[in-house]
Formats: sequence, structure tokens, C-alpha cells
Amino acid sequence: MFGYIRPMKGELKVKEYEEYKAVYCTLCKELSRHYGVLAKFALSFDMTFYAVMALDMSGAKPQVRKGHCVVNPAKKCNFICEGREEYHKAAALTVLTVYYKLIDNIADEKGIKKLGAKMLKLIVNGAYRKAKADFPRFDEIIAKMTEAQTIAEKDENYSIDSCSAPTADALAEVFAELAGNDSMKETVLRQFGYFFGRWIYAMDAADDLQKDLKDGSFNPFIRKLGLEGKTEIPEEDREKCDNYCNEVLNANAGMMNSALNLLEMGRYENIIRNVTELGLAEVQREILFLHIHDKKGKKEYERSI
Amino acid sequence: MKDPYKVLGVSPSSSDEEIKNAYRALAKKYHPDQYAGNPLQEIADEKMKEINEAYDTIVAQRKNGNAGGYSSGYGRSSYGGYGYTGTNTNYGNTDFADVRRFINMNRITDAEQILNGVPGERRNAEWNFLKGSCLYRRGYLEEARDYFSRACEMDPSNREYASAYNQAMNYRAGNYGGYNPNMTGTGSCNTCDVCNTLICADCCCEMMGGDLIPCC
Repeated sequence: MFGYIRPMKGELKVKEYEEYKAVYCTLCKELSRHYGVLAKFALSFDMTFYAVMALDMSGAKPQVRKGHCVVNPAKKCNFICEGREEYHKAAALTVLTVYYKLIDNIADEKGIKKLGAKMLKLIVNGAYRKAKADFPRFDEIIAKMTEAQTIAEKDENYSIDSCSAPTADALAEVFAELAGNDSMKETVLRQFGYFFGRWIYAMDAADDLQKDLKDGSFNPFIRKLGLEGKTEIPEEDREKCDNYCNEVLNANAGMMNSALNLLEMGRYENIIRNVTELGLAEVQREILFLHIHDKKGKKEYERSI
Repeated sequence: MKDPYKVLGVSPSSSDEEIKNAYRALAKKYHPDQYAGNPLQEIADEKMKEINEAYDTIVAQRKNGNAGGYSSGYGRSSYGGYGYTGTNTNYGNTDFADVRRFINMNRITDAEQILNGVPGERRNAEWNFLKGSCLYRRGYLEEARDYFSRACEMDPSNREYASAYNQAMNYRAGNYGGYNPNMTGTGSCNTCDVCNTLICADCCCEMMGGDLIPCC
């Protein structure tokens, strides 16, 4: 996915940060173990968050072990509860999302990018087949999402809601599955996953808006913000656009939090809350108000730190 | 019945004040304002009821045990029976009783089917509100807000529509999560803030007859 879902490091306790990092490192290791050495390059913060959520819901008791980092053998890392189903699921989801993203790119892109995507797909194919065999349900969910996304974006009556629905529906399923047999928990997790998906989709779209306008690509915000036919956001509209995108994201983040309020969480509660209450806000601030992905914005941001 | 102390997450040896604070924190967490018109409304109501009962039980127990006086049921009046009164129970005075019934039963597709069949001239404020409510339940927050806003424009005096619209706007402003650009939280203070504060301080000083920045 996109790497927008991460904790606000400064507000985590040291032990919480270390636990989070240990989950990250363990997922990295498990990606290699299940899906080949190259799979670890697909590791993302988003899937780390999923793993944290999955571990919390399963009530896993962490057992920490020191070992060598997979990427940099000179470094020592902590690994916790290796070999658990939760990591395997997160790893499979990582592979599946990357694979379907490539399929999507092959369909959308032209020229060198299309060729690049095709080459990558050849590399990912083996891992994909294994992930699909391990968790056929996840493959169904992500395949359905990719298909629905194409349809949603082609519909001439598209809206931000209709375009974010495929991602939202997919994540609603993925998170609902963590509930086990508890139907109340399932309802809450489904709602959480739905708005989680909406938030990620809207964040990605808001982040890409400038680039999509330049390339003439599809972006769900273009029509709503009256930017049709333009190749960039006029300077005087910039603030209005940023604020609008921010409001859309706020509504989704708020719904995620109100769902979490009803969820009984275990040992990872503080990390999860840090991500949804502070981490998401921080990403909104960096991308929409500090513009760290613009060249100019990046410089200013670095200076302000 | 569950142990009331466990429900509130406090120990039986906690002071009255601690219990009151724990109750208040939970009451805020489950506050029905966030869940009005949302699929989690019932679960939140259930949780609210649970903590209310737990709190009342503890208060009653302590009242019988200790001589100390205690105000019972903090804030109950403000938390009880909240929500869009219209979609919940009040079917009187409505053009779309069947739609409201379906929404209450969480049969959103059926409700929408009826709404979509309503001809243009009968699409009044209530129609817009109900259409918005269906979309809101499905998580289509952007479109829902547009319908709530239209309902309020058509009937500005209706409190049911206004409360749905306000709730949507509260979420968007970042009151429940996300980022509020107008709030300088997390202790950030940029150069502008420093200058503004200085100018403000200067103005105050000048008002009082002094001067902080002599050149302005």
C-alpha cells in the first residue's frame, strides 16, 4: 500500500516504539521466509499496522528474541512472536496488494512504466501464487477491490465516496476477519476497516492530486474541486483544496476513532491509538499543509526540523 | 451482572473522585453524539448503559456503606436518549414512515429503493435528510453531508436535520480525529506565532501606557 499509516514516534514510549519496531522487523523477516528474499522490499508501515492490530486482537503474548537484521546483517534487531499466523497473513496481504497494484499499472501505464510493471510482475508471480494458495480469501478480496476500482473510476457519476468504496469494502472485510467469532467485535472492526480504507484512499488521492493534474490522470478530487481541464492547482485555490481534502480525511479519521472507542484492545492499545489519533493527523499535516512531497515544501519542512 | 468496578476499570479501593473521573472518561468515549445515525449506535448505547448501571451500583453501594453524601448518576440527563429522535422512535408527522422504519432496521437498500422512487416534486427537506441518513450509514460521508445540507436549507428550523448536519461538520472539523490546521496543538510555534504574539503584547502595553517595541 502507501505507507501513510505510521505512529507518531515522539509520542510513543520507548518500550512501545521498540515493540512496534520489533513487529516491523519480524514482518520483514517473515515476508522473506514465506515469499522469497525479494518480498521484504514490499514491507510497508500499513501492513505493520495491520500486524499490530492482528496481534492485539489475538491476544498474543510477545516473546522477544534478538537476531540479525535481514537487510543489514551487521545490525541486531528484536523479533517478537515469530512464526505466528498474524505475520503470515500480513505478509500475504503485502504480496497480494503489490501484485494487484502491478496488474493495475500494466493496464493504466504506457511505455517504459508499463514495461517496468510487466518485468516486476514476472518477479512477483511466484510469491503471488503462494500467497493466493495460503489465503485464497484474501486474494478474492483484493481481486474484487481492483476490479471494482476500475469500474468506479470509469463511471461518469463518480464521487469521492464511490471511488473510495472498493478500498473501504476490502479493508472492512480484512479487519472484520480479525474478530474471530465475536459478532459485536466484527461489526466494530468492519466499520473501522471501512473508514481506514476510505482514509487511505483519500490520502493517496490528495497526495497525488498535483501530479495527476499534470499527467492528465484520473483523480477523484478533480471534479469536486472544480479543477477539470487544469494542469495544476492555481496558487489562489491551493489553500481551499488542501482544506477540503483535509476535511474529507478528518471525517474518516474521526469515524475510525469512534469505532476504536468501542473495541476492547490489549497490550498494543497505546500503539494503535497513537497511530489513529496522532499518526494520521501528522501525515495530513505533512502532506496537505507542509507539502513535503513538493520539492519546495520538502526544503521548508527540513529547515523547520 | 458484571463487576461494576471492572466495567469502569477501577479498583474497589479507588476513591469516589477516581471513580467519578473514570466514569466521566468512559462517558465521553461512548458519547452518543459520535454515533448518531451510525451502524455502531446500538453498540455504543449498550456500552453507555453498562457504565451507567455500573456507576449507579457503585454509588448506591457506597451510599449504603458510607455516610458520605454523593450525587448520583452524573450527567445522566445529558447522555440519556440522545440521537436523531426522528430516525429512532418518532414516526409521527412524517411523510416517509416506511423509510424511517427500514433505516431503523438497518435495511438501507430497501430504504433507498423507496427514496429513489419518489418523484422530484415530492423530494422535500425530509427526503433529503433521509437520503443523507442512508448514505451516512453506508459510510458515504461526502454525499451524505450534501443531502443534510440541502435538508437544512429547505427547512432551517428543523432540529433533527440541523443536528445531523452539525454532527457531519464536527467530524470534518477534526473534532473526533484527524488534523485541525487552526489549532496550534503539539506545542508548535512558528515564526509567525512569535511575531503575532509580540505585536499583541506591544499593543497591550501601549494600551496600558507602556511600550514593548518602541518602533511600532
